[in-house]
Amino acid sequence: MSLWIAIALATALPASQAARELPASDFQAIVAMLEDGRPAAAESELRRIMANSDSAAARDLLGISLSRLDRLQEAEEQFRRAVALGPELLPPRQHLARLLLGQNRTDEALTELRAAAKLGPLERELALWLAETERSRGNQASAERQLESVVERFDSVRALLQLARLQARKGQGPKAAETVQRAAELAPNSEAVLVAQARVSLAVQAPVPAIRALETLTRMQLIAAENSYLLGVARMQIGDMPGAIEALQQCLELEPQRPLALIALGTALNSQKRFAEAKEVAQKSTRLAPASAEALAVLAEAEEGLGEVAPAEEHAAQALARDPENAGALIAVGRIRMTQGRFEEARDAFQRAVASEPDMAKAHYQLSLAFARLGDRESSSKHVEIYRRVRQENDQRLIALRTSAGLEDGG
Amino acid sequence: MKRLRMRRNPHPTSAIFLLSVLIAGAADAAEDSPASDPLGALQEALSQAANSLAENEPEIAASRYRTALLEGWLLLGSLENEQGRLQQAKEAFERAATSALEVRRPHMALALVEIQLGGAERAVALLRGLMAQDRSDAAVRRLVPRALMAAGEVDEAIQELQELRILAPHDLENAYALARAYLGQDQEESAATLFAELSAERPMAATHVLIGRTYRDFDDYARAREELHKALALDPQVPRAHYYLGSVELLDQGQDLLDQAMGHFEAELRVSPQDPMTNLYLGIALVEKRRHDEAVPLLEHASRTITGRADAFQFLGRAYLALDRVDEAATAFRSGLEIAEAETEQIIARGPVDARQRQLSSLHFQLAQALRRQGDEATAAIHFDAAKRFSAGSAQGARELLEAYFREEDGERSLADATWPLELSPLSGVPPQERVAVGNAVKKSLVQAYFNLGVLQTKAGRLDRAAHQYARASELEPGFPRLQYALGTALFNDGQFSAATAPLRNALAENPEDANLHRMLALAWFNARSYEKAAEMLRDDPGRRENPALEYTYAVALVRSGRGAEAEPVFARLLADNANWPELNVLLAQAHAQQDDYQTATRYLERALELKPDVAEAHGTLGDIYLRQGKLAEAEEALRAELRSHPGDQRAKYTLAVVLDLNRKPEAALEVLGPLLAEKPDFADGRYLLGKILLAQGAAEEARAQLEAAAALSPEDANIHYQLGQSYQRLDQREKAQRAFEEYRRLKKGSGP
Repeated sequence: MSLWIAIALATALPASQAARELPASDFQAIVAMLEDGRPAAAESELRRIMANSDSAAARDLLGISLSRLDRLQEAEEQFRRAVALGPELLPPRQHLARLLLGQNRTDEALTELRAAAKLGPLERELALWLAETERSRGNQASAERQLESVVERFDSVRALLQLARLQARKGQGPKAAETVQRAAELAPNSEAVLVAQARVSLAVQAPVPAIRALETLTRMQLIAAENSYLLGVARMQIGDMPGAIEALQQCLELEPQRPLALIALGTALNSQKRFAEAKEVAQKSTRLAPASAEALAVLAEAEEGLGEVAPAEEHAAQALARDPENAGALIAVGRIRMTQGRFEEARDAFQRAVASEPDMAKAHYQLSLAFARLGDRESSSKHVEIYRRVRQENDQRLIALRTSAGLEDGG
Repeated sequence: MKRLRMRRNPHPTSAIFLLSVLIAGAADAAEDSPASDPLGALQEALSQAANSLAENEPEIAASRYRTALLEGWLLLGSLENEQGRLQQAKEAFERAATSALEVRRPHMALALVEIQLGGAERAVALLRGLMAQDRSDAAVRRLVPRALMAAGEVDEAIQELQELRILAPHDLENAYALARAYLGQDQEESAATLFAELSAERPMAATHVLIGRTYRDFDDYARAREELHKALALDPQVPRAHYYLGSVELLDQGQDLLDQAMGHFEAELRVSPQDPMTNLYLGIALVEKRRHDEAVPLLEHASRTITGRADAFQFLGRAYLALDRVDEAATAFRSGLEIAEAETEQIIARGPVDARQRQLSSLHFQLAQALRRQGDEATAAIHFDAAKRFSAGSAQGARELLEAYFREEDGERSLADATWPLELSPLSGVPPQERVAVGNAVKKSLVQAYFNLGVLQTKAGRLDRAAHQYARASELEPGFPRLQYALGTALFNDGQFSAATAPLRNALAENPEDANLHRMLALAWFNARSYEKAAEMLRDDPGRRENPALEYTYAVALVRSGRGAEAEPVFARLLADNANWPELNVLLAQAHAQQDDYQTATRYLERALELKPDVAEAHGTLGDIYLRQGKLAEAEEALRAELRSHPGDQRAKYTLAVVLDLNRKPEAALEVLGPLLAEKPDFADGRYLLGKILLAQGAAEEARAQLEAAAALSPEDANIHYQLGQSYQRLDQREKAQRAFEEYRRLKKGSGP
């Protein structure tokens, strides 16, 4: 017996439910015929019964019998009559919708299912189809209702993942994270669930659980370029630069021409003072994304680190021409000015970098140095403190990552 | 760092076995206790996965198949470990560790195998990783000191044990381990206190056997005797008490060792007549006493029941030889030699080799003697030589050997035999003879899980991953139904044509009549540029004549394998039969356009479009031809028509941008180029065109960036350097401009007239 028929029979209108009427013994006999693969016999029996008394239940069963006999037009007619006889009944509408879907008549199916959904919870597959269709037509609330219903009744991971996507799109990050967590409890080894966990965690600024999910994917050899990139970015967020470099290099092995991964790798290499490598990577990124201020800023920082002042200044200027508040470029400019003894200009550049990215530890550190050179000890101390605090927060995140606490505190 | 004084492995097999008696009933013993059916968890996962598939929940199904992989590899690793195949066990546990979210059990198992393989540092690292996740995990913490001991970190190991004792004061296994560690550091009184505690907690004969044996391990023979006699007083039938007493007598110098030892072994055999090790050692002692008749049945029993013991066969051979049973002796020596040689590699990897070399030498020597007595002088000579090669040393007497065995027993040998902690072993309830069947069932389940994961990946369109899963299944059971077909198809559809040929060939061997498979393999060869093989296969394809695409592929394969003459009639037939095939008309048009025969090309294209208005590349090729003819408006129209039908055609987009630029519509060109370069950032021609347009618009700085990028992507393109030079000039960067123009001239010159 096909899945379709099994579902249809399971949800066929029982006599007791169809108040108007198919005696229970007749109902069971016909169901038995269908289960035995004798739809023609079922049709004959139903027509005999209906000659005496018409009912929604009989029409519904007749529709099922005719469907099995591939007489789809007649089946549709019977389902429609069943709906007319029992407009408050759910099964005939679902059977009709399924038949319409089988013929790619999606708009008609949608109308039937919307009506059916008002009567009660839909079958799992139909509810998921309705949810997806409503989502694609912009009816988020309706889609969510269907998905929640499927989750409630079937513990469906498919529904949970779709629901999390909807919640994330609506900006309900924490709610999406909860939904994905539930999916993870049901399917902890699923690649789709782990990817969803990583994405949602990054979206809610919780890099630690994101890293855990992405590292699990890596260990399970399910790593894709995108996952490696995300892992690199997440590790950079918590200041784990060696880890970030490893992940980004893996991403670039899989997809060597990915400009964003190159830029991120250059940034991470600069932070480790591996300027020669950073320069090489940054040059490649500027070739692939010549309009990117970030790429030019990374190149400028690398050149500045290598003592190549003229090209560093040139590239930093190009980056700032595209994005006047680019923190990386401002730091490069500031550091050049420091070496030139132009401390006030350096301070201004670092202040702009701090204003642009208040959580960037190295910007505060450089600013503290500039203030110190200018004799402003108070401001210098203040930025050293901020630098220490940001570093400490990153260190704590790193520690959390290596212990179970990371999963609990959300990074 | 202090080295532990200890002759033997800190956790020998039998100690663990006995310890299980002690810890039975302990509160946390059930935590990791094996399921009654070792295949239970695996089969449960497979069954649940199948249910999830039926419910159309692919994520749950995939997750459960991965659980099945985890359980399966853990079981397989345990089986390998118990067979002493440590490298295979390690590989199985590594697979387990990459199968699912859980790493705890795989890493614990890996740590144990690493200890046995001499990788104690890695074991410590693995266990520390697990401890970082959960410091209260008692099973993990119990392993840490053991790994530390093996790594020579004795002080740290004792510290761990002491800490664990504070955390879990009733953990008797830990108490025992700590007592052993104290003995190793000559802290006999501290050890004795803990042993007293053990005896009080478990007042059983087996407890005293364990303690007695431990004292023996640390050469404290007096206390060993005392404990073993206590055990016998409590229960005269307790297994192993006499056995250990026998070994104590052998090890304790200055007594009439062999006779006393034999007395204990005989007593042990009255208690446990089937005990393999007692049979072996008593048999060896009897050979030494030249009581060969009595030795034979004991050694026969030992050689049957103990796997992988060369010495059982060696002494059996000696007994046979002494009894003039020369043929049986030769067979026994051969068996012993086989085992000893197979072990040698592992032994060498683990450390001292002297004892094994002596054994190999002795086996070769004795086999040579048996062969000589059989009259086979030639083969005997070979084995005499081998005996000399391995060692010129004299054969040891049985007493020395026995003593040496006891000294090595729990060191070298138990490393190979041992060390699955009982609470982890999923196989503890499975009789040895059933383990082969368990192993086969596990492999079958693993194949099923990999196969179904492959199917799920295929359905999700992740063909490379699908192929990976199928390949894993194929490593285990290449003959699994439809597996080669699935693997070959996944690789083929993923564009890995070369890799696809082997599984497709295997699949075709299974179903030689499958025409689709035959064709797929032919196309795989074609795409893998093995044109000769492709042509051979397509020649015999019965459906080729009716399938113009196939016929065309055949013709191309013939041409490319140097059989142009055979290809000609195929092309002619193709044209004659398929004048109405739109794609063929496009193909022919492109060939004519390449030869600047625009008229014929246009005719073919018009025909193609007439047959199928949205046929791929027809409008695009037409646009290209119009462009070459300078008909810019027509070219734009044709290229836009192409993009309406095929919006992803990047070549058409680029050509349209060129046409728009030439037709003085730079803004429209930029609109096309922006998205194109976002899709394909390494498109040098696109970057060049963008730079050129920007330069013409006066945006020299932006133009320079694009042109530098284009030059880096395509350094041999002279035009790019020319435009780049222009941009530098505009930016007043004269030196750079000069260099760019020089490069332009150099390339132009190099490219000929």
